[in-house]
Amino acid sequence: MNTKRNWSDVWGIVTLIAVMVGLYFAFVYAPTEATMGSIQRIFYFHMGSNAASLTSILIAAIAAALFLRSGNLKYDRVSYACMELGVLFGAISLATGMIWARPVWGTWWTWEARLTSFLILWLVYVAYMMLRLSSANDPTIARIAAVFTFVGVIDVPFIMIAPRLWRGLHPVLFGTNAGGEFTFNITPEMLTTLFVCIVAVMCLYIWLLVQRTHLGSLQAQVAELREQYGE
Amino acid sequence: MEDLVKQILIEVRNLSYLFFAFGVIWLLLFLYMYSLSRRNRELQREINALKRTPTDDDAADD
Repeated sequence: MNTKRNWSDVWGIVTLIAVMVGLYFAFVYAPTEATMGSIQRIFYFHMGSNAASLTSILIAAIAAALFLRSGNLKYDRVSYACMELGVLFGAISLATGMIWARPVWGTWWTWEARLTSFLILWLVYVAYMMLRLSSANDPTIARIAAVFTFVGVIDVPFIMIAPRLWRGLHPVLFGTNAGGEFTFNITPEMLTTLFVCIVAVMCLYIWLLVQRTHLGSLQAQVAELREQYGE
Repeated sequence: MEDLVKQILIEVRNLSYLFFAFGVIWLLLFLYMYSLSRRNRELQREINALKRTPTDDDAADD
């Protein structure tokens, strides 16, 4: 247990350093975008939160499938932690996207394909949390809620391909040039910064996931002790 | 001159949105981490209190 906590502390320090490096890259290393100006710097952490949010639903669905198969509550705790973090990182992604859109598109929100499909994913996270919070330790509710993670996973491919499929307003990060070659639509410095920021946010995500799963274990321990002491 | 002023004003507006965005990021993260730490503390306290509570079996032994 102590070794686990030590690893968690070390990972916390790694996360702190990674976030600092990410901020340095986003604000100092990355060049200012020619058309959008400084507002484009939101993009690096916006994409990081996006990656964390999408990873969250994938891990949650895998853990939920393992929980449904084995009935082991350990997997349910991981799934629950992922969904809670999905709400957080999804909210960050939506909020930063809206703040970026206001000066660039002239509106806070538009019912564009990627935005709408991402909002649906976030609402799936919220619906899951509402269901789980309605009944704390009910295994039947946990099983029903597990299905929500699969609904969320179905939405992921739509989020990924939406701007290409429906040609929305949302910027496309990579594609093919006139010669048909694969290319990124940002400069190499911006691409490096994006990579660094995604790694930083993913470090933070993993650290929070470990903390939240540990909290779930403590909740289970309390429930067990209460039962034992007949409260 | 007018263009330069316009450009400066746009950049100032952009910087205020950038500040707003990062403010939202830190605020949400801070609130979540504070809530995690508070829940963790409460649960640890409850576990310690429950472990100190004598069970019915203990009472029977006495």
